[in-house]
Amino acid sequence: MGDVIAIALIGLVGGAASGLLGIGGGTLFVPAMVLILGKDQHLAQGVSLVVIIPTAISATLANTKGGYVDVPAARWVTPFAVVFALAGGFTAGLLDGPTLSRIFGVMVLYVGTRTLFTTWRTMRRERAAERQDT
Amino acid sequence: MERGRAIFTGTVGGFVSGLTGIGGGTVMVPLLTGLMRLTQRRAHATSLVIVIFAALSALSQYILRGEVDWALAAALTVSSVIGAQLGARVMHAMPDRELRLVFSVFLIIVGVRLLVFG
Repeated sequence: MGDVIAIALIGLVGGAASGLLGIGGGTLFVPAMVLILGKDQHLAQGVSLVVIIPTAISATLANTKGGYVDVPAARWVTPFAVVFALAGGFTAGLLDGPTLSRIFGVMVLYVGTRTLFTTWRTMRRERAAERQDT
Repeated sequence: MERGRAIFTGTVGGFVSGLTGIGGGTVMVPLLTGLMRLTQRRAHATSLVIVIFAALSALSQYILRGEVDWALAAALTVSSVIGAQLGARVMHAMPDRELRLVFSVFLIIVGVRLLVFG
């Protein structure tokens, strides 16, 4: 029973993060399955990819109504993403679970820190510009 | 839009998507905002469209290796689809800068957690 509640919560939070942050939810699904449900890293990644598809479709349906999708960008990025996702999926099969988990952690931390830093920098610049105006 | 930058975004985002099983949005979003100059909101919406196809492609490899628990995936999908609707609605209402802050703080928490406990 505990597992059922955990799964429902992971899905809900991961789905909300996906819709809000545009990330498909895997960033949350994978660690949640490994750390909370005790699944193997490879299996967690496989399951995550399945769940991502309907989740991203669901969020996209809400987004197209708002007209937020940049169609030319999507048209150019998607074909390359599809080919290299295949290569990435193949490479994952050659690596062991702990290595994959570590690559995942480092990458997420790097992107997060970088985004926080650039946001903080623009906020400071905006505040400086406001001060000059007054 | 510069095609070279779009190709780079697809290549890196796609590879990371397949390698780490996350759909690629985590790297796609910063590349779409930083390299392709999309606003945060547009980047989030566009990333999800790309993720649908990248995830399908990467998934084929995991299916071939038998690394999918379909029952678990189905159970997660039920609540995840509902969550996605809620998340997308909140995103539409949230200003760009706050969206960036939430995005970065979320990733830092996940990253630290993985490196410390994973």
